[in-house]
Amino acid sequence: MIVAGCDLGSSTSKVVIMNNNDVKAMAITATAAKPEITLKNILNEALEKAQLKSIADLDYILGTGYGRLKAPLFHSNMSEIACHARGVYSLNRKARTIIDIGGQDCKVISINDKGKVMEFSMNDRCAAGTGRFFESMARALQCGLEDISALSNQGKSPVSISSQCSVFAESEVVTLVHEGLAWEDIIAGINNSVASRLVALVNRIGLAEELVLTGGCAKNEGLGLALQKLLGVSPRKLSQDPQFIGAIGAALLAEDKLRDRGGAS
Amino acid sequence: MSEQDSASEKSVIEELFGSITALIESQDPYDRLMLEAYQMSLARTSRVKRALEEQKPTAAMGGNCIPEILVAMDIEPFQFLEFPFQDAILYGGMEGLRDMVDKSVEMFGPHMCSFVRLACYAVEARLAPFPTVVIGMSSICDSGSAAQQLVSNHPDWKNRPSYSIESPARRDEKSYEYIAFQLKELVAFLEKITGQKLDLDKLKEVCEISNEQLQLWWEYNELRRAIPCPSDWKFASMVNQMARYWGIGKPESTAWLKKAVAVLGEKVKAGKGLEGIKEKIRFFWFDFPPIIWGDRLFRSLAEEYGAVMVMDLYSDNPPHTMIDTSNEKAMWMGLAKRATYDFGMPRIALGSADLYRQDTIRVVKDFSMDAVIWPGHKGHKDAGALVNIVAEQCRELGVPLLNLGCDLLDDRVVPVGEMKKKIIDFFQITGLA
Amino acid sequence: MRTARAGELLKDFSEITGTLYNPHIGDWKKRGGKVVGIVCCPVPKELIQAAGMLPFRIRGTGSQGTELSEKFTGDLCCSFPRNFFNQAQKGKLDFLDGVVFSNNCDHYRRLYDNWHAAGIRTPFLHMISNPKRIAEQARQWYENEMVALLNRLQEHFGVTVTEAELEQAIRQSNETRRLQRRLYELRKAGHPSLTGAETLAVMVASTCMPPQTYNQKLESLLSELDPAGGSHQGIRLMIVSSSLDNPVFLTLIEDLGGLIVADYSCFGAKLIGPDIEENSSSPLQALSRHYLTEAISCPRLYGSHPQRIQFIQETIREYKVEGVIGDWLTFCDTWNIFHYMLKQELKKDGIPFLMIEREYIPSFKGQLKTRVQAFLEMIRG
Repeated sequence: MIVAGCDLGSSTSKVVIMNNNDVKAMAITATAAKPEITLKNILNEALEKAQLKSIADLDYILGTGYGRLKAPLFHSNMSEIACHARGVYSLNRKARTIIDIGGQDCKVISINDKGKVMEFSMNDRCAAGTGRFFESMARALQCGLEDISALSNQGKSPVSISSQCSVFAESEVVTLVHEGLAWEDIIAGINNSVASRLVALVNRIGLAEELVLTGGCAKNEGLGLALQKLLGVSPRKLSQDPQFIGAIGAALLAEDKLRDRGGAS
Repeated sequence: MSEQDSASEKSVIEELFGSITALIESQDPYDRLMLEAYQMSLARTSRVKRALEEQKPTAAMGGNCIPEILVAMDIEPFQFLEFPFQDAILYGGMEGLRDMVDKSVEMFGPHMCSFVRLACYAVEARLAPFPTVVIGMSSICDSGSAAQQLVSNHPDWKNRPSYSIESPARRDEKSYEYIAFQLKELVAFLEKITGQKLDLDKLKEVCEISNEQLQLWWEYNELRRAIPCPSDWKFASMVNQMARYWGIGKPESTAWLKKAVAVLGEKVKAGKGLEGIKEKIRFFWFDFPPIIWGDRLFRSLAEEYGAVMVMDLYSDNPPHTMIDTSNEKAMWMGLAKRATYDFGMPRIALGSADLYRQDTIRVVKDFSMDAVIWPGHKGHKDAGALVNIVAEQCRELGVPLLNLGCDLLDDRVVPVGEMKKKIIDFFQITGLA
Repeated sequence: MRTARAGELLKDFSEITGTLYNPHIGDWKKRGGKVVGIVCCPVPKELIQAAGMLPFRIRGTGSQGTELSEKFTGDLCCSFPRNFFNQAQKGKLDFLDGVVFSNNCDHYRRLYDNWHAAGIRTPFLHMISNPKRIAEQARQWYENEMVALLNRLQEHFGVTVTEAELEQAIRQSNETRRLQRRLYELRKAGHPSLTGAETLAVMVASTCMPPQTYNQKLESLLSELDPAGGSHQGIRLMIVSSSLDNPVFLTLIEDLGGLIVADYSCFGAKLIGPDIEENSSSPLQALSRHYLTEAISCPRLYGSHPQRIQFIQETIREYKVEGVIGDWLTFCDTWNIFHYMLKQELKKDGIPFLMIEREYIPSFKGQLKTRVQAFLEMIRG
C-alpha cells in the first residue's frame, strides 16, 4: 500500500510518500503560480527519492492545503485542519492542542484522545500571526527569515511592538531600526507580537495539554519560547519536521481511505 | 485606600491626564478648579461603590440619558463599563486596559466599537457590578442595542430587572411623546423594583437645577469661543460630567460650574489662552475625546504646532430649550427631548444627516475653527457613513477636513505617532502649519 | 428523480434571482406598472402591493465592487448596503419608482441620508422608523409609521388605497407564505428533492416579481416535486444569516458535502413566518402586529432573543440538522453579538456551530472552503 500525501500550501508545497505507515520520501518546494505544475514537479522528486517509477505506482494520492481543490491528480482531498490533526496524533498520542502557523493563515485545533477534531479557530484575513507577518518584518529588517529564527533567542530586553496591523508594524520596526535598537531585541519583540496573536486564537477554544506546533513557522525557536512564556506551557517536540505534518497527515488519511475501501469491497 | 494604592492611582492618572503633582502645586485658579473636579469625581465614584456594596438602589446604563429622573428618585446611576474600566487601568495601567481590550477582541472580533465591546466583555467576564436595575441602551447605536440583548440574556443578568428605552429616528412632537411615555413607564418600573416613589416636586426641583447647570455649561462654551481658547478638552469634559452626568441636580456641581464660568471669564478678559501654548490653529474634533491617548496627541499638537482642540462632540452644547416645569406634561416632554435628542451621540447618531450638517456649520462658525478633524473611530458605523456629507459641508464653509481613522480607546489600532504624522501633514498641506 | 419541468422551473427561478432587472419586472413596467424598492424586512410589502405597485426587495446582485459607494459610506459600512448602493449609483436600480428604507440598522439609515446626495434619481424616497422594542405602544408607533407611508404613497403616486385592497394584498401574501411553507416541508425528507441553493433562489424570486405570477409558478414547481423526497444528500446543515441572497454561496458549501436543509435568514424562513390575520377589524393593526410581534424576529428587536433561539432549536429538531453555520457580514454588530449568543446556546445543546465572516461579494474562498470542509469533517467524525 503506497500512498502520497500532498500539502499544497500558500508559500510552500510538501509531499510525503508512505508505505504502510512508513515514510519513504519527503520533498518540499516553493509554491508556483500554478498548483498543478508545482504538484507534478514535487511528486516526481519524491517518487525518485522513494525509488518509484511513476505516479501509477501510487495506490492513493490525498491532497490538502490551498491548492487541494484545484489539482486534478488527487483521489480525494481533506482540509489542512484534518491533516494536521491526523499527522500530530500519529506522532504524539497525548497532543490535545495544535497550533499550525502557515504562510498565510494560522489555526488552532483541539483534538481529543482519539485524535478527533473537537474545535478549531483560524485567523481572520489579517496577516498578523502568520508567516506573511514574518516576511514583512524580515523586509523591514532587511534580513532573511532564517535570521529571525537564529537571532531570536538572544534578545535580552525585547522591544514592544504595539501595532497589530502588519503594515503599521512594519513601519514601527523600521523606526526601531533607525533608533539603533539591537536586532536581537527587535526580533524578540516581533516573536512576542506574533505569539500574542496566536494566544488570542488559543483562548477562543481553550488550551489543553499537550501542546504541539506545526507548520513552517514552528521551526522558529524564538516564537516557541515566546508562546511558552505567554501560555505557561512548553510545546512538545515532534519526531518529524513540523513543516511536513500536514503532508504526513494527508498520507495517513490516504492509507485510512484505502483501508476503508478495502474493507468495503 | 492604602498609601500604595493611592500612589499607583496617581501615576496612572498622570499617564492619562498629565502631571497631577503640578496641578496640586499650582496656584492658578483654573488648575485649582480642575483639581477640585477630580476630587469630586473620585468622591462620586466612592459614593456609587458604597451604594453598590450596601445594596442601595443603583442603575447600570449603557449610555447616559436620564439622570434627572434617577437623581430625583435617589437612584445612583453608573455606566456598565465604568468600574471594570477604572479597575483595569488603576490596577493594571495601560497594560491592564490593553489586556482587557485583547480579551474582548477574542470574544467579539475587532470590528465592534471598543467601548461597547469592552462593556460586553465586562459582563461576560463577570467584572461588571450588579446594579438594582439595568436601563437599556437601545437608543444609541446598533452595537449598544445588541449589547443590551447580550446583557439581558446572560445567565447572571437574565433575572436582573431591565428596561430598554428606544428613540425613533425622527424628531417631532410625536417622537417626544413616544419617549415621554417610555420615561413614565420607566418610572413605574423603577418604583416597583426599588420601592422608592418619584416625588414630582423633587423631579421639578432637579429639572430646574439641571436647567441652570445647562445654562452655565452654555456660558462656559460661549467663553471657549474666545481667541485664544481659554480652556482645554480635559476641563471641558469635567464640565460635561457636572452638567450632564453625575453632577446633575447637585448644588455643589452648580457651584463648581459657576466658578468655572467666572474663572474662564477672567482669563478671557485678560486675553489668556492655554498655559504655555501659543495658539495658531483651532480645530474641531467631531467625536468623543479619546481619554486614553488624547493627552499624548493633543498636548504635543498644541506644544509643537500651536494646534488646539477647541471643541469636541462630547462637550458641544447645541442650542436647545429648557425643560418647562410649569406643568407635568410639559416637564415629561422636556425630559424626553433632553434625554434623547439634545446632546452628544443620542442627538446625532439617531438623527438625520442634517443635524451633522447643522452642527458642523454652527461649531465651525461660532468657534472660529481653522480645521475639522473627523476621528473616524473604528466602531461608529453611523458616523462612518456621514463622512462625505460632513466633508461637503466643510468644503462649502471653506474649512479643511481630515478623515483620520482611529480607535478612540485603543491606540494600537492606529498608533498615536501615525495619527500625529497624518494631522501634521494635513496642517502643512492646507497651509495651516 | 426530478422531472424535466421541475428542472426548467428551478432554472427559471435561478435566472430571475441572478439579476436585478428580471423579465417580469420588464413586463410590469411595460404595462405602466410602478416598482417600489424596499430595504430590509420591516417594510411591509403588503402596503405597496395594496397601492397597486410591485414591491422589490433591494439586493446588490451582480455587483462587482463598491468603488462608487466608499466615498459616501466610509470603511465601516456593511458590504450588503455598500454593494446595492454601488449598483444604484451605476443606474442598475433606475427601474425603481421609489425606495422605502427602514431604520433597521445604522447602515441602512445612513444610506437613506446619502441616497440623493450620491445623485441617484429615485423619485420617491421614504424611511420607516420601525420600533426596536416589543410593546403595545411600540406597535401603535409602527402602525402610525405605516399610515404615514401609505399617505405618502397615495400622495406621490396619485392613488387611493382602500381597506379592501389592503385585505386583498394580505391574502395574496399569505398565499405566498402557504406555498413557501410547503416548499420548506420538502426539505425535511431524508433525501430532499431540492438543494439549499435551489431553495434560496425560489425564495429570493418572491421578492422581485408580481405575487400572482410567483404563486402560480411556485404552485407548478410544488406539483412537480415528489414529497417523498429526491436524491440530494450530505451533512444536514442549517444556515443562520442576515442578508443572504446569493445561492452561489450555498453551492460552495454544498459542493463540499454539506446540504442546507433549513435556515433562519432574511431571504429565507424569515420571509415566511406565520400568516397575517385576515379579515381583521383593522388591516393596519393586523400588519403592525404581524411585523412587530408575530413575524420571525430580527436580532435587532429588543426582547425577542428567547423566541428566536426557540425557533432555531425547533428548526434543528424538525429538519434533523447536524450542524449550524452562522453567516456573518463584516461590520454588522447586531448579528455579531447574536451569533455569539447563539453559539453559547448551541454549545449547551451539543450542536456543532461554525461562524463564517463574509463580504457580500464572495472573496477569500480558499479560507472559507477550508473552514467549511474542516467543519464537515468534524461532524462526520
